[in-house]
Amino acid sequence: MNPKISGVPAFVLAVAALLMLTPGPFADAGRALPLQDTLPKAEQILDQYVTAIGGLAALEKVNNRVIKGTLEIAGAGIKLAIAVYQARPNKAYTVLDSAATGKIETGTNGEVAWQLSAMAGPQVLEGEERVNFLHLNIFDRLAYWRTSFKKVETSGAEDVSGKPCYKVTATPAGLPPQTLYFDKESHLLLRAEMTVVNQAGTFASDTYLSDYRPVNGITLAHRTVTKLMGQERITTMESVEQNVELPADRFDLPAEIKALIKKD
Amino acid sequence: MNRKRQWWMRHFFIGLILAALPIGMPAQTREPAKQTPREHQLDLDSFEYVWKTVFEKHFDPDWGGVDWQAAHAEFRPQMEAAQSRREARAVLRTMLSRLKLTHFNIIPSELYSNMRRPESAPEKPGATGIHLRVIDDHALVISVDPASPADLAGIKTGWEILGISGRELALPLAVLGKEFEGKTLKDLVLADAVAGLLEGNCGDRLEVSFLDGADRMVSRTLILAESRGTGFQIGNLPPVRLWFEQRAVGQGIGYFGFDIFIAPAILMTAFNGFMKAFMDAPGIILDLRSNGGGQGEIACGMAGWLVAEKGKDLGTIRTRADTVKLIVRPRPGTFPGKVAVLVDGLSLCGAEIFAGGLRDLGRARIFGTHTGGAALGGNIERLPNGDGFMYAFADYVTAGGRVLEGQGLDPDVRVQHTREALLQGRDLILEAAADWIRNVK
Repeated sequence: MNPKISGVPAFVLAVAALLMLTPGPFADAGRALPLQDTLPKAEQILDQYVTAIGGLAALEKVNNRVIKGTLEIAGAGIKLAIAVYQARPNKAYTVLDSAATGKIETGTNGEVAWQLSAMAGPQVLEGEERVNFLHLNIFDRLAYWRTSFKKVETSGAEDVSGKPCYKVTATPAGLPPQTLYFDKESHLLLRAEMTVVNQAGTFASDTYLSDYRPVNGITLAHRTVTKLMGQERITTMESVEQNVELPADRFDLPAEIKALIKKD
Repeated sequence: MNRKRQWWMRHFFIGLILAALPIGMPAQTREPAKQTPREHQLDLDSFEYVWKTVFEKHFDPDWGGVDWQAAHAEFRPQMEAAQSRREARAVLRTMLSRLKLTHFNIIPSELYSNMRRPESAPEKPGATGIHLRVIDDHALVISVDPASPADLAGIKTGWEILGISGRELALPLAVLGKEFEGKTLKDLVLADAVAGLLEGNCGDRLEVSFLDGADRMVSRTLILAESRGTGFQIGNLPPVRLWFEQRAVGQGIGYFGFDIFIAPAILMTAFNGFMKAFMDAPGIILDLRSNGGGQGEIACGMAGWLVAEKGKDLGTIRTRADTVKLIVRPRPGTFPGKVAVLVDGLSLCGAEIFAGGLRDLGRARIFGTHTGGAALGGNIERLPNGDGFMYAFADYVTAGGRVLEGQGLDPDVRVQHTREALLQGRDLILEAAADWIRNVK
């Protein structure tokens, strides 16, 4: 799973929610399977996922990733261009742009989590909002589940879009637990339920992942559908590049953010 | 007034009232004749979509006490009997009117096809440049756009509009005024009823009769031209025009007026520049008269210039599942001076939220007249038949716990235009705000 695409920064989601946006049709949440199914340990499920997306050896050869695509607010006729830059271990920069929203930038240098937009100006995230943002921007965070989460446990089995899945409850340090659904057959992540925390409130986020495709030996979901605040956002990856030569200042804090930090 | 911005209100309210009155509908709402079976099926599909959307997404799971299941049983046969798109729209609008809320309406598909006309198309929306209010049943010119057809024809503020294209206004306005007496949307409905008659396509000729400044009946032929502002079309919103203006108003007071919260890349760039330019001013005036709302987060972004403390909000919007605070995130440098906000009956939704939110935070004083009371979180989707469907999926509550929908905001200082002052070129609301900034410690 691409953490940046499937966990689009909370601010972006909150912004999108405040637009006159529509919820779209909801995907089938699946039916619960009989309890007598034997459930493997969470560690095994997660390790099988890592193998399925390419294996740790292959993943560790990837130092950065640049993803470009679109984010569509289903039913509202609004589509944003999105570009995501990620680098090991936990640096990220995302920019979205559309006539409806103007330019929205978010990022982290691994310590400071920030947002900058035409609408709201510069913001430095604090508290649980910051912790949430930093967690979501851990590079390949699920592949490094042992350090991304303080606790993982198998919590059941349930179909997702007609496919039998194992449910794993994974709890990051300082954050609410997430429920991850892994396809029993392919071992890929098909659904992720999380709690999005920001100053606007606390919201349940439900993301469905699909269209897995290999990119230089790493299998990534190229389409995610996230239900959040009564809306449906469809993110489609159109290009993925890995180990790109990035500008040295790609993940530097923008001047407006530095000024805000200095003021505080 | 921008018809593309306000047309949904016009059709929702006036469509129910004006069927028997000699006030016409704007040209762009000409609707097709009897439908084909396929078109009829699309209307039926659209009915089901509308009904189901309200059933599932109305912010109140009890639909405000309306038996929505019964509404389906009542209106489905009417939709089946509808023989034209116009009739189909009327059925849907009547069903939606049961909810007694703003932000529920049907947008004719023609408006969307209009926006795809090339710039060279002979038909282009036009306006006179007249902005008006109906005060005590009299349609008064309150401003004239510079270099507009009205300006070039010598029309002045304070002139009363007596008739348009042979239609006299006195009786219809009196009837409408009585119908909407006591309702927060009265000013909007009346102003829009007249404004709609002043619109057409660029190049159209309108004969407008006035009572001029010397109380003489005069007539002017106005050839419509492009209205002020810049056109935008975003998502499923019908085409809208953004107008904004900034200037100094005596003794260094800053003035920023705008008519819709949209296009943040343009509007916020202008507003950010305004705030920087007037950061040392004793006060600023934010003019939200005729502002129909728009993107709520732009209001939050503007408020970030005016509120220094973290953790503040402009109120809360509530969907069925979630409660979302309209967070204000302070800018690195916030404006310390006085803030006056101007509102009137055509200040709606986002404008009301912005004004009321700032006041609740102790950051602004409101001047003008009661606002429209149309503050909900809405969305627009396209129906199977191509029409747009606006619906509310969230309500709004002020930081003080008040619901503005149907209630509106009372200004701190109630000031109304008078014909006498308008004829002198004076804006009494603006003057009151400037006086407060200058004189009250």
